[in-house]
Amino acid sequence: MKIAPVCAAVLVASAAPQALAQALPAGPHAPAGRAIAGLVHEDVAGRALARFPHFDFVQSFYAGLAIEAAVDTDRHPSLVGQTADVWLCAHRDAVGWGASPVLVDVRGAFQTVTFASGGVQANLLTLDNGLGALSGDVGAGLGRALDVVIDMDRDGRLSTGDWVDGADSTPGLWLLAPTTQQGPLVPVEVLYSGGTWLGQDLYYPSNVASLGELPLVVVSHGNGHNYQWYDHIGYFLASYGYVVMSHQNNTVPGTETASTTTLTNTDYLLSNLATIAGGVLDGHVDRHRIMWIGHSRGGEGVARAYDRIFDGQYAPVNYVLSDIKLISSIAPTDFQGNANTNPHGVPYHLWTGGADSDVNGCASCNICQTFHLHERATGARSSISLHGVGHGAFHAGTGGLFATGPCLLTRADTHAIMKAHLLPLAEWHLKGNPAGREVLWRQWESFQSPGVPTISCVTVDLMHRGTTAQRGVIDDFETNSAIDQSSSGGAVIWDVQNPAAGRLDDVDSDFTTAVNEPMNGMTFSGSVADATSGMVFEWTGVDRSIVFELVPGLTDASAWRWLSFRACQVTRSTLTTSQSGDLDFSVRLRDVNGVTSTIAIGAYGGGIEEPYQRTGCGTGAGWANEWETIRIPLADFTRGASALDLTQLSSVDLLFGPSAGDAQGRIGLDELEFARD
Amino acid sequence: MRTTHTITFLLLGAALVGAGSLALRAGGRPDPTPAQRSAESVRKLICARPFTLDVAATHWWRSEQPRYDAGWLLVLEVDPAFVVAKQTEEPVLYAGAETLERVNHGSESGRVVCILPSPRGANGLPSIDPATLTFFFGAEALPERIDALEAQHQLARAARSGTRPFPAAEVAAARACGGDALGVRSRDELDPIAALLVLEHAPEDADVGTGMLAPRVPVK
Repeated sequence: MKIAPVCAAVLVASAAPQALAQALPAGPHAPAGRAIAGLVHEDVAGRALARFPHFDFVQSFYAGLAIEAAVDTDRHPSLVGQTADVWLCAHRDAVGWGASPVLVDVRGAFQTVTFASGGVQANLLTLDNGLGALSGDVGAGLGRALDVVIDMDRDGRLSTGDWVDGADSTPGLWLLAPTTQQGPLVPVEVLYSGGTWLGQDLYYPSNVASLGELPLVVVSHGNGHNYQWYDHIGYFLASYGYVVMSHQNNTVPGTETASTTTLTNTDYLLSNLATIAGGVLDGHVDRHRIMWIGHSRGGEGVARAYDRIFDGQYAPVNYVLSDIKLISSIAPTDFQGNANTNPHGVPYHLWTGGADSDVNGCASCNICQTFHLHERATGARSSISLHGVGHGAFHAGTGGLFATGPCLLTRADTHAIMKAHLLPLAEWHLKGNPAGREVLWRQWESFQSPGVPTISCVTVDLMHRGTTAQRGVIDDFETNSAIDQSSSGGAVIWDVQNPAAGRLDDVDSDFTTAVNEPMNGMTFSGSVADATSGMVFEWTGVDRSIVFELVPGLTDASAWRWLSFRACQVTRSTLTTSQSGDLDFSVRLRDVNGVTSTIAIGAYGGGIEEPYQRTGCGTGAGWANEWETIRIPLADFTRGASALDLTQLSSVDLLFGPSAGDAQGRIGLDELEFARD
Repeated sequence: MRTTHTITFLLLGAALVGAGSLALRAGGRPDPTPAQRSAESVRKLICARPFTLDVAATHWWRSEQPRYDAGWLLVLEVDPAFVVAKQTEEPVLYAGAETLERVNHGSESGRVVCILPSPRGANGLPSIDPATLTFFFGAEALPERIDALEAQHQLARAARSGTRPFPAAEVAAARACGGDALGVRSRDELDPIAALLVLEHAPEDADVGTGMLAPRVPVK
């Protein structure tokens, strides 16, 4: 889904296509190599929703699941009564379409539609029913790029006046292969050693010689684990065109030593490509595209390794800091704190298991609260939290799951979820492939790969935040600690109950609810050097709200794509335990003319998840507060006949209570912002 | 064989046994749990083999990261409860006032293969005699954070709890088990020998052993 030039699209769509074709120099018969002018770029592909905004224009679809399309005739009334043909075509960029405008439907036939009044609800179309007509397998790629064309003049060519979703630098949609499955390449594994603490388990595609330079993924295991225990990552990513190296990690002395082995093993591999595995990788590893993924002590070790280079304490021989494109930590420890284990601005990713009995996340153990590193990351960052997953479930070795709690997942279940998430993550950060990027933020309840376990125990929560340049922060609670003023300086008007703002740190040693502990269950901040702050509040059976008034720099939201925030249910609160399920509330935008538009967060298929119902760490059930990011497309607020003016917003209002969602609840709130890619 | 004494080990262990009056620094790690104080936490010295290295190695298990070119390859029988791997701090295994490098965890077999670094004596062999040392688990910590003072502190506590060196006959048997002194070029050549001990004494840690026995990449 793209930011379409909405105003231009409306203008063009309202004009007579034939007249435009005559007026514009480029068009269906333009010289080869030139873009076709006068196309209407609009989002078309997506999925229907049961309630307002009735349709979710998205870009990624798993093969085997339905692909739908919609046209909003409330916004484009001139289309009502018009008949057009809808084509699903292989993606080409603007120049490619200019060179070859003939439409070829990948399904074998186009569809004919006549637009009706009634907006998206009256103009829904199933492009593919997911029964196998389309295949997501496109070689070593994650997905297949497609464009949706609405051929208004029905001439079988992409031409002036036609609507198109895609046909520029990004496609209209990505059809993804199930990301739980092995890729098309045949992986090879080689075990070798370069000496003490240089044992390495290497995975690469058998035809690597013909694949150019491939990204490198380095795996750093945890304490008591072994470098041969990551076949599920190695074989999997190698089958999609990655070189994966899992190494002996000197974790028992501590995370500083572990970081040393991450650094030295990466250097060893890169400096010995001519001899390792007979030199098959020589010239085929891209040392400028490296991902470090570490587990537990190794998960801290990879971040520490980055920090050592960042601070000038270690100088790699064969790579530099900017070659590290992504750090991913699986249930990381935090022995070294903010000053030493800090991902700084590198893209950072976190995996957390709710049932982890080792790095357990309890309030009593700062070392084993997994979110600290994530919160320190200042660049793009994301996380995935898995209910019922133990510490040992993330590797493929022997030994126990190190799991405590209800509804435990097996290693096989955990690995299926890991693969489904890991591949899109790596593709985006290491190959710049956006095909599966939406996996990082679309709610699991409504977007998951075929092949992941579907048992009721599987609960997945995601957080995602872009770089500073991609964010327009309304309130992140890091400054202006008073509740009545946002960090961006706007007034905050509220009538929710028992509000409190401050560091997201459970200050005592358990998760037992206490009246004088508003931040119960929060584990984002460790020592006072970790300053991540947020807000908590509640509502009980009566409609309540928080109104965030927008300061001048934020009133024009037209250049942003989403309204984004993260929220959690507060563990063990009676308002949470009595809810015992997803929590719903609403978001309302108001413009300077007083026009409003409201969307319930649950409209997209999931609200704010309840905490994992694990006991221990005090009395009661419910583990650490589990945050998830909610991203609502700003364009969705203008759906239907809404006159909301996104260029002149005055406030973002969060609405709670019976009229807005669930009647009661107690939640944490943070990172309210506008966002784009 | 090069003799490089690049470290000064604080091997006052035997002399300090019973030195309960040793001043403890402020901020020293807390007392071990009652179970950790047990003199039975390290139950037996099974094998002990002296070694020397032509090229000195780093002892990563101490904050000072001292270098060593000699030492002992040991197999210890321990209470398995002390060696269950976890990501938070674990009990640190000591020999006298020195931390031991644990090659495997040994939580099922209770057998731990260890490396005890040592300076060389006048005869070119390790100057430390395991018969004079007490072996014990100290407080939970990251070994890389243990400095000489903390090691002395832990030794004194162990001594107060009654930990004593192994009986001479047991050490003699362990020496017989270990075999002759081993002279190797570097840690790289010591590792396969340690790996075989892991496979022999702690077969549940086979992945550790086989991982250390991975084929060596030819040197260019």
